[in-house]
Amino acid sequence: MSDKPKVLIIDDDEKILRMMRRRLMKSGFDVVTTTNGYEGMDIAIEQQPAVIILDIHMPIINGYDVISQLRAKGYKGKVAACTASVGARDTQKTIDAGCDHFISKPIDLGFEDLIKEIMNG
Amino acid sequence: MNLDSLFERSIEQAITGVVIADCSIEDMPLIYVNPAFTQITGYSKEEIIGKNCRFLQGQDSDTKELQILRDAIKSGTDCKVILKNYTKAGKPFWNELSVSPVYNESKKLTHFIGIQNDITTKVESDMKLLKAKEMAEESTRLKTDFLNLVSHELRTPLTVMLGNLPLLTDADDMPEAKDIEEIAKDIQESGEHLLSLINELLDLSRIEQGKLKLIPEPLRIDDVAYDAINTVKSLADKKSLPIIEAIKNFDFIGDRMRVKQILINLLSNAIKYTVEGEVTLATYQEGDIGIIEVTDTGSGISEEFLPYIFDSFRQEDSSATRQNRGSGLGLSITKKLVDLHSGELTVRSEKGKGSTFSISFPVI
Repeated sequence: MSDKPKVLIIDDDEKILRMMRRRLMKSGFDVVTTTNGYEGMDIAIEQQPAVIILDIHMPIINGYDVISQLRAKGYKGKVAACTASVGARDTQKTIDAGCDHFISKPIDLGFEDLIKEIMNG
Repeated sequence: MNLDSLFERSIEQAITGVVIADCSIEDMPLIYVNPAFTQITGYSKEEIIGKNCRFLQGQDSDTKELQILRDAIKSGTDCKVILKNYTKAGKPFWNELSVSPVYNESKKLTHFIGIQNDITTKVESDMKLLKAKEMAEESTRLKTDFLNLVSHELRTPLTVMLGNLPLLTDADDMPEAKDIEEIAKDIQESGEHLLSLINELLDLSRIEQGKLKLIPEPLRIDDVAYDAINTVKSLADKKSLPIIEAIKNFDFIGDRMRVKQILINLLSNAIKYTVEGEVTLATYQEGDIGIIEVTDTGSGISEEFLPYIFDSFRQEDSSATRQNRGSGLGLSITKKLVDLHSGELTVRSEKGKGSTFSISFPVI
């Protein structure tokens, strides 16, 4: 079993998943990814990642519902919403739904440090 | 001049309608109406004296306002209501009616006096203003939604492009060659997606300003159709969707690039919204009309959204769970391009079963 901190990324865009996986793995994270919110919830419960990076606009089940259902199931891990919808209302809605942090897309150069901060915060 | 005769003359000459109903008689018949009332309603005095004034009401009179009036009459109090009434000819008018009880010396309720103003012009003007305000608010909302959508659609490919750059600029720790190849492909595709979105926005802007000029030439539909199919084939292959070609040639005048764009837009949409089944492109001639049909077995369009399908700033699903990305401009641009060709674009669709977009062009 890896002793690296685990990050779960849930995003329906495979290109974004590949990019984030590469960057976080390079920074020493163990990375799990999925394009499906339901599968993401199962992984979160089973593997208890240090941080979940959660896209909001997704087909099948959106990020608001993923975090709401996870919190309803008692999930207490750190969750950062990561979305290209960056209005003030979007930010507040993700926090209200149960996310701890809000990361706007495009992600910047300090993305990896931000994930570490969230993990240790 | 005595006061009674002055009152009578004033009421007879007033431009507001005045009626008096007798409470001591069952059904409260009218015992007096002034000439203004007969002019507003179209009834003569003889026709209405002795009748309850409910003859002014119609099926769509506001029941809430009527209830206020009934309650006031029942309790012997005054009220002011606005009623939709009808003239003798059946023409609706808005009646601002003030009703007051009249008591005799023994404090007994004997009559009601009603004063009515025809405020139809004002009500219609208010309704027009309200409708204009609602339309302006709807337009603002749609534009805000659209700007948010465009912002989201621009940021998504930019995330891939900008997010991958640090991986390619760290000279001490470059990814392996196969990874670099994959990253470059992702950046390339994201850039192309971004460009197509920008082109769509520019196209829409040019068309709406009347600045998009066609370069018409004689065209064979089979040439353009196969060309368009070749362009979208890789998209269909990725989803293992066959494109059925039912191409019969007809000749027409059109802008080759724009007609191809029309077909690509319709075929791409059909592929995007179809999970299983097939996409069919059929072209054929009926009399003087050349017909192009793009049919899919996809998710279809709801009956409620169908009237808005070609609107620029609308998406059937703008929620966080929407299944497919895109600016939502494609169909609007396609419709406008067909219009510029003096053609007609129509759609038939059933939710869950699929859609057929049909274009008709005049043939040569």
